[in-house]
Amino acid sequence: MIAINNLAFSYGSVPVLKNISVNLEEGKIYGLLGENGVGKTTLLTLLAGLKRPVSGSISVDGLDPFRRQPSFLSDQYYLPDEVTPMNFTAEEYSRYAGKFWPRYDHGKFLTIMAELENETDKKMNRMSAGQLKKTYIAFALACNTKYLYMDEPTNGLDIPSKAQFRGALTRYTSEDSTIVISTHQVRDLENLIDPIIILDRRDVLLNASIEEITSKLWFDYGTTIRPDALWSEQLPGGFIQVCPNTTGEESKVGIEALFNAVHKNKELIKNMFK
Amino acid sequence: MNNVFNFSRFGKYLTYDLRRIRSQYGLSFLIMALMPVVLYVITIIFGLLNMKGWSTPAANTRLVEFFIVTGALLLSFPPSAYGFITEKKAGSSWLMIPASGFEKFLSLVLVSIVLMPLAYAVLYFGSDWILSVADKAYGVSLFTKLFGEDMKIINVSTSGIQGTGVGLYSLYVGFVTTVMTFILGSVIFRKSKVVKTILCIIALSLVFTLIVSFIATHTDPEWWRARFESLFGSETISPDTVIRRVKIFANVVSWGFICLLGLGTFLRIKKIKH
Repeated sequence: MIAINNLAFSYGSVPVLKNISVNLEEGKIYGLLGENGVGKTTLLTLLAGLKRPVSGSISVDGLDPFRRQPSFLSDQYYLPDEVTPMNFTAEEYSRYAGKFWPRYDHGKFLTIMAELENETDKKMNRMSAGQLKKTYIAFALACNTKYLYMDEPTNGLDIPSKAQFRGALTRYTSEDSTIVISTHQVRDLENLIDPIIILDRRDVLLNASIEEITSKLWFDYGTTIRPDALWSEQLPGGFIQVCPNTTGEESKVGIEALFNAVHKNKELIKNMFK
Repeated sequence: MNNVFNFSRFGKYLTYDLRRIRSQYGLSFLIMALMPVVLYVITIIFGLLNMKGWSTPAANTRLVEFFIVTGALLLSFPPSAYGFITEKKAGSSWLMIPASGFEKFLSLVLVSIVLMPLAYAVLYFGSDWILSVADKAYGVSLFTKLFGEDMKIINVSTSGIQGTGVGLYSLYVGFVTTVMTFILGSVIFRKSKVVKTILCIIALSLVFTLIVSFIATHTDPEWWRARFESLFGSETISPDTVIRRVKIFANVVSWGFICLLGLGTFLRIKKIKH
């Protein structure tokens, strides 16, 4: 389990995260959303142990990530937005680097690479950005780690690859893994991320499961404007509106609409999900 | 799991480190280490084209070439092999490899001050020796010229007292000190690693010289004489004893300085943030 308590971080005198507290449970795929510069990547790098908090604490199974102990590192994988083009073929890299992760499965890597339609015998520094990203995605999943942090994993992927990524993530992660995905491409990950965390500079605005969200909010895809809508947006052929769920009816969550509704009604939503 | 040092994990990491360096720097290293062959071939081609005769590199040219190539190796190896540590993409990926900071540091030291110099010396002097055996016009090998009895170029300052063999050790200590200095510079500075390291060396030398000259001009020479006499006695001592003591002192200072450089590199690896 990951416990974040009163976390604060700043770049020099510029504060990025302030007073963030949130617990991340096992076996869930968290979607980490937030505006630009709100600190999503910073939070992921803090979780991975690449940065040290200015104040507050992060505990991953009772360990401090910044100590970067091998026992801690072998149980996690951090996939950054921009990945390194190594001077190895994808197959060589995964074979050499995979040895450090005790549950790494080379067969699984080759299977995922095939599913992502990626070449294993191509040098990584000769791959396109999308091919390189897919190589690292396959490697990350083949490591079979308990904690997997992904920063904008669908950036650079073409349309078929996005669907393949979703399929691979669903099929090749174990049920007790905790996955945290930071993204702006919410439509790429709809139906995959649950719970959703919406981050603000000074607070966690929302940390709720899809079930909780639909029990409290109603996503209306109709053609008439509702006066109680917390957010409404005109779409071709109608509207998408987010309203308080007063009837208990179920609806399909539109993550983009949810994000906008939360940002427009910060205090109201926070109180609603307390 | 031992989080500081584990033989099996260190072995895996060292292998990975060597493979990575070979892929990044292998070709450049090979060209530098086989420079005697390159120079030999170039000289022969030019000789045949211009003088219509067989000509081999002159002894002094080979000596100058050795120092230039070794200098180039000393300046290029540290940033090429370990400079990536300060880069966000590659450095993050490296920090996330499940090996301890100590193991990563130990591998760096082993590669930089044992394996790399050894491989360089074997290839450089070896190829030069093969040429000297294969072609009588080439003359004696560079190793014999540098450290042998017939021409004490390295041993000019120590010849007649320390004898042969000391030059090789002095050369090695100088090599290690320089390589460790530039490794520390490579893991500290994010850009212009070599230039900034050189500027730091100049600045520190200037400060050190000022301090020493201040002390020398502001203290009584008699006080120093008394200190030395209390340490070494006032009786006349043989040149051998003087040399032995100077050698011990020089070794303590050199290896102490190398240890300090190593400590700085280790702390940087432990505390680096991305």
